[in-house]
Amino acid sequence: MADADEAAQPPDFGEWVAARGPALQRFAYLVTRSADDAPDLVQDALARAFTRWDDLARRGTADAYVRRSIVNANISGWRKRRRLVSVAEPEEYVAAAASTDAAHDDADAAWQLCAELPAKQRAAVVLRFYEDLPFAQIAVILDCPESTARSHVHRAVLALRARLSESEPTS
Amino acid sequence: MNDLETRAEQAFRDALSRQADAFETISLTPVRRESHARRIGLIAVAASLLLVLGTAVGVALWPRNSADRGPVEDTAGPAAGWRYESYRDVQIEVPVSWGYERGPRSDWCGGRDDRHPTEPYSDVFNRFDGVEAVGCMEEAPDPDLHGDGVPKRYWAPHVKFLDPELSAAVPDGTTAAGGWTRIVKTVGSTRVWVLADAEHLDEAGRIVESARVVTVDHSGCPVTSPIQAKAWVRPSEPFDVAAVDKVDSIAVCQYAMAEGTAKPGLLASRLLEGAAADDLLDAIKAAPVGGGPNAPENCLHEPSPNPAEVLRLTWAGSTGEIYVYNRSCVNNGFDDGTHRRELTRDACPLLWDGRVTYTSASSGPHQRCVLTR
Repeated sequence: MADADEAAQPPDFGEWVAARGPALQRFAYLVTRSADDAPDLVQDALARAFTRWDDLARRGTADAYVRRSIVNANISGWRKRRRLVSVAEPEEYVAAAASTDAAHDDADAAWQLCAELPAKQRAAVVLRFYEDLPFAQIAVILDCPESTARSHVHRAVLALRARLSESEPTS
Repeated sequence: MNDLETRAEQAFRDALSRQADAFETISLTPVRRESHARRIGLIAVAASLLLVLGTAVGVALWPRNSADRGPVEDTAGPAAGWRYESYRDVQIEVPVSWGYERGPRSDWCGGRDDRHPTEPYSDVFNRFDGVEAVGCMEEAPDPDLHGDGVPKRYWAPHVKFLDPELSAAVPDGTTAAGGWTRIVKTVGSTRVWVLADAEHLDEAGRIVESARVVTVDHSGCPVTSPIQAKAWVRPSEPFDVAAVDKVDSIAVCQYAMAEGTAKPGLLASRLLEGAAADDLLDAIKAAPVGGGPNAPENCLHEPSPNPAEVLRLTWAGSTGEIYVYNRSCVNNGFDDGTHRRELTRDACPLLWDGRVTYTSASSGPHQRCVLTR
């Protein structure tokens, strides 16, 4: 009976932070590309999660909530500081990629492309290819339809494919 | 999927994995709410809390009855170069030159050194804001006039309001040490706290002396509102904002939800006139009817302690109130009692300025209410 009671208790907030903190920071870093901003975004997101912890823990939605907070906070700041090139039209993007260093390996090209993605699209790429989440779960985190989440990722893949194709040596 | 797409996907995986592995994480600590003594499994806080002052530094008691005037409604306006600010049932005057900042607290060591204010300010922190329970490993100043163990290098002249139950350790009075002076005075339902260096000591004294009890503050906000109820409520006198062509003013009155209506719950206020009022009115009228954004699966539906806003519109001799819930996952929107309108990115961010701030919220309203352009 005691074990069942313990199993029914929602996780302690402090213990959850200690366990998930490093992964959330890595996620925040990949989304923001800023080692300075990442911990701040995570701390702010945790502050928001704390005020509704009991409910989040009971529902098991804490992770999604915090990651969504991180993404949204980055979007808020990102739009004020930058004007980004959307990769909705990957054919347009190929022209800009032609000037990249041919020596970059594929991963370098991918990381460079991530820098140029709009914040939400980059978040979708991180959630898909780093967190390995299904699109349904990505959609919950990004608060968008699943089709939109798929589109974000697919267009990013097409853009990188185009860039990799341009860098192929011609025979 | 062709080979190049497969290669692209793998490239993303390799890049993100490589970058994540190279990133050095730091120890995160959980958050505690400064206004509640909740058990949440904290890492022990090493910073000193507010100290009971008993040292020989010259404690003088501020005469309590010098400003115990009855409740008043302001008619004269603040002195030139000063503005009004209010909290609960108390209104004070603050120099216009004092800005609005979030002052350092027990989490002073979290983040960059340059994030703390250096110029005189009115503190925007309210009891619903979270404080990081970081272990700031530095001995607190003695005496700790600022509070929370904040080092003197981060002190700046400031004024803040405190609820008496959260500041009982510090008595009313004036305490001076090391070139700094703290003045604390209980007025009405709250305490006015001012910290000043020698340069701003006169202003500090004048701030405290200006404190008086009001029933309606300088923005036209009653100190108590039905929105403080421990339930979701709608305006008791419905009107239709779509029928309002132009307003004289809009008062943004921020209250503490879910505290009940037995005591004043006003947290802050601001008054919009002219183009600012017109813009807010137009944005609300343009918002879709139906309320939201809501995500009822994301939270408990009972109202929890948080701020909520009442917009008091005045036009052609009439007054109407719009209730604004925007921090939960249910009942969000602008409610004039006739319709609930959706929180939109055009309307919601217009509410925030000065001490009327917006912090934690469910993601839906957060996306709409945080300025994103």
